[in-house]
Amino acid sequence: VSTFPEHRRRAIEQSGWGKEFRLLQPHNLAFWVYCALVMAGAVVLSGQISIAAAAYSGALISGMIAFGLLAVAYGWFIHYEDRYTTVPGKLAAAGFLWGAVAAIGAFALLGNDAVMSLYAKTFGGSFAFDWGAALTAPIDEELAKGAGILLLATLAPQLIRSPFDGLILGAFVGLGFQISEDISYAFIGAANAFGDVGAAWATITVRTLSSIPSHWMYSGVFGAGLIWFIGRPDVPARKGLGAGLMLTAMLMHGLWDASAAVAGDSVISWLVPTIVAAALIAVFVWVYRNTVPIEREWMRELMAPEVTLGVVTPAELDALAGSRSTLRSYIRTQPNRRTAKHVLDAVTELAHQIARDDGAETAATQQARAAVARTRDT
Amino acid sequence: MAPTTTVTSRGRRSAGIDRRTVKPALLVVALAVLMSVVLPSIDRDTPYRDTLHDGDVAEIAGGITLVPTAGWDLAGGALVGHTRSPVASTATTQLVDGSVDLAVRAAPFAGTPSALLSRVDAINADLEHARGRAAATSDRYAVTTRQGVVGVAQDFVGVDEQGSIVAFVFPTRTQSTASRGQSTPEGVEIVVSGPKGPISRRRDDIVAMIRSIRTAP
Repeated sequence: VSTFPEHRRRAIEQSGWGKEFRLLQPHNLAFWVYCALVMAGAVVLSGQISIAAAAYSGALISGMIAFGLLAVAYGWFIHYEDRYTTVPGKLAAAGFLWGAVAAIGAFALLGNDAVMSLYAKTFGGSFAFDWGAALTAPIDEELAKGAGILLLATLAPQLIRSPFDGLILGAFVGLGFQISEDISYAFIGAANAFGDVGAAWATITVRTLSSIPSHWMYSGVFGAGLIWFIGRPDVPARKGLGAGLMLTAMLMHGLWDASAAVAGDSVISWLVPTIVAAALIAVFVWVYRNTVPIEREWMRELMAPEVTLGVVTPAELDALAGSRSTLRSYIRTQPNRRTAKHVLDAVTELAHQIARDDGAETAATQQARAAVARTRDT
Repeated sequence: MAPTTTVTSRGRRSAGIDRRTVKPALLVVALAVLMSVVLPSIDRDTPYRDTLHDGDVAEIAGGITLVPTAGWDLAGGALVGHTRSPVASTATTQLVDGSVDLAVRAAPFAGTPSALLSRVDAINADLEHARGRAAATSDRYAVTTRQGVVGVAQDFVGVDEQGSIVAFVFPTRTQSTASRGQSTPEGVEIVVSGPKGPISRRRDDIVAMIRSIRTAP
């Protein structure tokens, strides 16, 4: 490939795809703030963990194992959905760490306790019992997690280039928060039941069953909203939409936390959380569908030259840069589905290699291109 | 090899820091200070404005109630007839009056009050060991509610505070709507703590509240 297609150059430049994330940036104040708050959060959490380890070790270990597996499952799912210009693993890990440690230890624990207590002092204990969590956590926790998205967007401005990146990074931050909170709920459940590990497992079951409409989703919506609010070089700011989505994330979180108070002690008390969960999933899907087109366009622009070269067919490019349903229907219509899937995997790897090499014609790119041909022949 | 992403630029630095990164970083610091310093400080300086009145009844678990002394404050928990959310079989209630704290924890427990107190003692021993503190405890003695349920109690004296731990097991109780009519033994642990003088002055209030605990008819 002697010429460097303009569209490919633009796609790599605009998406930041292929660039690596480096946390250590001494000249970036966000780096120091990130490190300081993660350390502050770790100090606070270590106090809790040491107490849990001393008195409720069975519940703590159960929670860590169960929610560790849940973290792997959700982490895989979020990565699976981030199949275009993928957020680098180190950046996703930094987001997860912020959510799990800093957002809880340095923000939410103290902030939530104080605000809940203020509600009880001002409006009475019964008001706080019904509405305290719903009027506290959505604000404190969404802002705490959102602070991490803002810091990481400041640390990696060339990687967080679209609201879709905000959605994915937000989902990782929220997942970290969710898992850390889940583990703490496991040993708190045992503590509240006189150390009974069975109570911890009841908590683990409930938290796992209700893990879909949870922090990873709230923060995904919040993250997309934040990036729309501040704008990116190639995505102009839409402050109304961005603010609306951030508020929607808080509202959904609040409605979920208020489900028990809204439903009361009625036989259909399960209906309220079900409706809230359905609404939240619908919002998340709407945000996904409205943020992903630019990522697909970047994928299309990056790989279009490969169609010209005959490495990739137009139908494969459509499948690669299309929706999940386009991808599935493409594979379904192929005579050998297994080979078609492997070819698409190889083409995806080629796309990643091109991005990693900044579009340059390297030996690695040529090998990836040859791998596509080999896979096609098998 | 792909380049790494940073925002550093020598031309835009001030004191070694890229000026473009200052505003978002300081915004996050301000939020952290607000949540971890300012709000707790406001909370510490804010008094209770909605103290408990005669006739108020706290629901310490589904079907188990306690009559709080008027003038105390409900820091956590639910009053009968004042909340929409159902109170579960595992619940906590916290009543405070100045520096004295009366915390109630209720959860299903199949055993005797003495066994419950032994379990609580074992957990407290682990916690004290982890915190590097220790408290001396008295011999156990019986406590009876006005409903006739007999529990067991012991006093403790620590470095900063002293108080009592009382354990009851209510043999029957009515569970939530979904399983109304089923009976499960319910353990109730009451921890009263505070400085010696204030606890002594509120002794009658504390005894009255503990004796008022009852299951629903």
